[in-house]
Amino acid sequence: MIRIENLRMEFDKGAVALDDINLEIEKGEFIALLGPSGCGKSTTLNCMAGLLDPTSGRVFFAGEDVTKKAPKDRNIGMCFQSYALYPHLTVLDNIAFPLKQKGVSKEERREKARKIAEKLQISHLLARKPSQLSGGQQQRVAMCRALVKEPDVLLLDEPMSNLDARLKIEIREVIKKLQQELKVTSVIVTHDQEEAMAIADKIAILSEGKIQQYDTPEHLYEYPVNLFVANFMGNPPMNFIDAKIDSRDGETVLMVGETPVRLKKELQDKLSVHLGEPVEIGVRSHQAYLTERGDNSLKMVVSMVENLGKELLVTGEINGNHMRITLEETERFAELYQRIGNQEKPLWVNFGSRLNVFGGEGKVNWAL
Amino acid sequence: MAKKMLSRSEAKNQRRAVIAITLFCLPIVALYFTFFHLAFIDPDTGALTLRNFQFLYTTMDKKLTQISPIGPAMKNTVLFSVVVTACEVVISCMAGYALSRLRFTGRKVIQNMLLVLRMFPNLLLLIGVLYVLMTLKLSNSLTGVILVAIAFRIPGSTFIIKNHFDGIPRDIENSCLVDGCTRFSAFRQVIIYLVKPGLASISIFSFLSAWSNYILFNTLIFNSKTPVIATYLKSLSRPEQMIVDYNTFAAMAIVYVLPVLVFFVISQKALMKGNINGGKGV
Amino acid sequence: MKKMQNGQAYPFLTPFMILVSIFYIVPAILTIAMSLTGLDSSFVWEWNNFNNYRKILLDPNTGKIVLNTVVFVGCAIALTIVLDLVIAVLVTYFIKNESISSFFKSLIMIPMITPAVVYSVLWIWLLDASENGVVNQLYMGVTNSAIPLNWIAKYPMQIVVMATVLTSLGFGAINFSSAIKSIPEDQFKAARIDGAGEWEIVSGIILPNIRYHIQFIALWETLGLLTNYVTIMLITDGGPSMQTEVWALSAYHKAFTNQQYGYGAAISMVLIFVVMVLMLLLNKVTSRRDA
Repeated sequence: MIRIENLRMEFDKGAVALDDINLEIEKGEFIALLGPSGCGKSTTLNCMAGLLDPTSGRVFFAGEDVTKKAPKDRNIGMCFQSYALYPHLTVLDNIAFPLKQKGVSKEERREKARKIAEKLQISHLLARKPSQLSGGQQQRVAMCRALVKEPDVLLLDEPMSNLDARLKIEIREVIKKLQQELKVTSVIVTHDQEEAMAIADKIAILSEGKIQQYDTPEHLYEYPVNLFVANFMGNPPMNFIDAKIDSRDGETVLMVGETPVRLKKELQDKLSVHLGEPVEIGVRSHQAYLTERGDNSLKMVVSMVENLGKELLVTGEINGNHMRITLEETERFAELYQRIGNQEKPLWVNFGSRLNVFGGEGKVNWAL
Repeated sequence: MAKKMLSRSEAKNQRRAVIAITLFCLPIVALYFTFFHLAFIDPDTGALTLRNFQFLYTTMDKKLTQISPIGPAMKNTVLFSVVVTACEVVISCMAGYALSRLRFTGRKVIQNMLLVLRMFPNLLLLIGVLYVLMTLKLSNSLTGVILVAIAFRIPGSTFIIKNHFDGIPRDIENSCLVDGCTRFSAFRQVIIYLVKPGLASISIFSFLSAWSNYILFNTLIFNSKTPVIATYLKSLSRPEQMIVDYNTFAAMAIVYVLPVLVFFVISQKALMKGNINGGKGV
Repeated sequence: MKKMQNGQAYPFLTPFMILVSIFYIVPAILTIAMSLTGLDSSFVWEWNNFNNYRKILLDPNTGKIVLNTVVFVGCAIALTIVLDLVIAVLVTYFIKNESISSFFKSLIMIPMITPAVVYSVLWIWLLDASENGVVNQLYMGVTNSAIPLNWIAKYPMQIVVMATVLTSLGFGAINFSSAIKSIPEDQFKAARIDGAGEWEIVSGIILPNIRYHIQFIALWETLGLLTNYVTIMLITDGGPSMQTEVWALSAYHKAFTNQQYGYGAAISMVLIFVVMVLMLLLNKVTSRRDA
């Protein structure tokens, strides 16, 4: 449905905002552009909308080159971070505004606006002005306005970043449900990885104007291609432990300080070519587990234990590296609490089998 | 906004402040009030009279001179103020929008020029302006004065309205473009409503200054064929000697000032309202 | 991004540019040119070798006019700023009730919006030299003297300063008032908890917070006072015997009363030069205020 080819964007003073972006989006898919601020995700979205003209590269909608087309001729709906509601119009007229521009008759456009408003449960607000609405309500109005003209493409520019946490989850469900119902191809820009994971079919992670990885949420989480992606995905963030690839007794191992971490055969084969190189081991907090000394385990001195309700978050140090593990056995809180700062009573941590090993220039995941 | 509760000491301070400022304002108010007294009260009998308002429709015979009716001057003043205000608002709105939203060659130069012009003492250029008008064969005509009056005020107005345009979020404009507007229809349907407070303030100040303008007429028009109220009043009151009695002058002054006051009071409310509604929810 | 929109922008700007060119830029160039000629009512352009500027230096009245200007601007500016501050603090900080405070703000603006022609007659009438003058009635009532005073003849400078100050109060007071309003309420609360009295709050919080606004208004009003001569012209017209003749008014008199256009232009040029320097300062203050 949407294809972006070699998109490049340079701003006034020669700063490169986008560097060779390629992206393909299937019809009906929900895509998230995820990255820290300044990574170029909003610029990409604005290029799709036609609000910015790319320096080079092309944008296709359903096989048609729309790069040179004005925003109004692209049949898109867009929802802005600040909602951008028209303050002088009522909610009803705000929603009907895009249809008015299309020349739809007053009766018809009001009818359509009412219908979509009902779907988003804001029928009781139609006579109000935007300034009389709460943030969440404004958000819904903005969604209605974006969807009322039945666009081919729905673009969402950080639509939820001005809402509080609870409302975010609520609106997120609304958007997801609506998108599945209308089957409109959608692109959301966000800096919140949790939001992206929850809402999108596929996520493109951007950094410094480049797409780092474009994949399903599960893949991004389990198989990050490089350190940046690994760092960005997941909460609590992935743990990174400094290590060195070495060989012991004919096996390829990862040396954390003086302690070797033994690996599965498969991974050994992949790493053996990089023998002697320094790497960072990436471990998810829930994939590492506590075990006995000697069970391929490393010593961790506890520095903090937090009870998160459904699990415990144990923080400590492994060979000078910060390490967090989550434990489901919340009843161990008191016992673990005793160990805080105690060098004599360390925990023994096994990293589990799903290891990521980042090495070389750009810290590529060698485990893939 | 909820009404703020004042503590006892705050209330006391407020009372004191009100008294202080009232004492300061009292002479001003009294001064203006006596003008009404002069105009409406017959000095001999102390009764209410409209005798001083005869200039509105007829020639008044006075000891020294005859006073022609105010009609033509009034007509010119209204014409002048309306035309100047309308042109000024339109022109500065267009220029302000371009300077705020469009990028073009020379933008920076014009923006800097605006900064200088907005403060430039245009009264010091009157000699040059008179020469230009004479060259254009526009001196001594209302058209000429109108042009000068507009020109003298547009840098200031453009500056104000440009700041208002600058304050409109980009998202709103982008949203219009996505929703199917061209730049122009977005301007007409949405943007113009967002700068309403700015438009109100420039039109108010433009009207007030045009209505009371004296120096341009005094300098650029040499005959009495195109009187405005300002020059009409001036011709009846010289520093050395008043041509008319103060009672008649007060009556004239009231006729002259009343529209300004009414306009001021109305627009004050409009301005306040615009500011409150304009800022939120955008 | 760097796509020029010349085609769209220039039509928008054309009326503005035409008016500004004809009535600012051309007159400015003309004024410079005129100041180098002996142009008079016969309109003969003749280069006169900086004679006008020499004449300014040699004119015995120049010293007096400069002194008048300095006294007028100096006194008026000092009074204006002080009164502006007092009013702004009173109506914004002490009077918390919105409607009372905006009522007084409007009241303060009335002299500003009164047409100059009416405003000046108001003063002339107030100070009428006969025994019917309002001030004279007060004066004779209080002092029991039988002879009315000719106030305008006796205290011309004081009177034009007062009259001018009253018209400029509105702008500065409103400006300061909105500046004070934008000071976060927490600062006042913190000060009060730390034991500051009202005077400490005014001098320690309000004044430092609006110092750039004060600088801005001071420069802005100075510019206005230096160049706007209408009030003086209407009340005393520079008299009596040049006691209130300020620089800008003298340029006007030379050019339009005596029709010495070249000489008048030269006098204007001197003032424009001074004004330019002030404008540079003003720009600096503005950018600091808005930072």
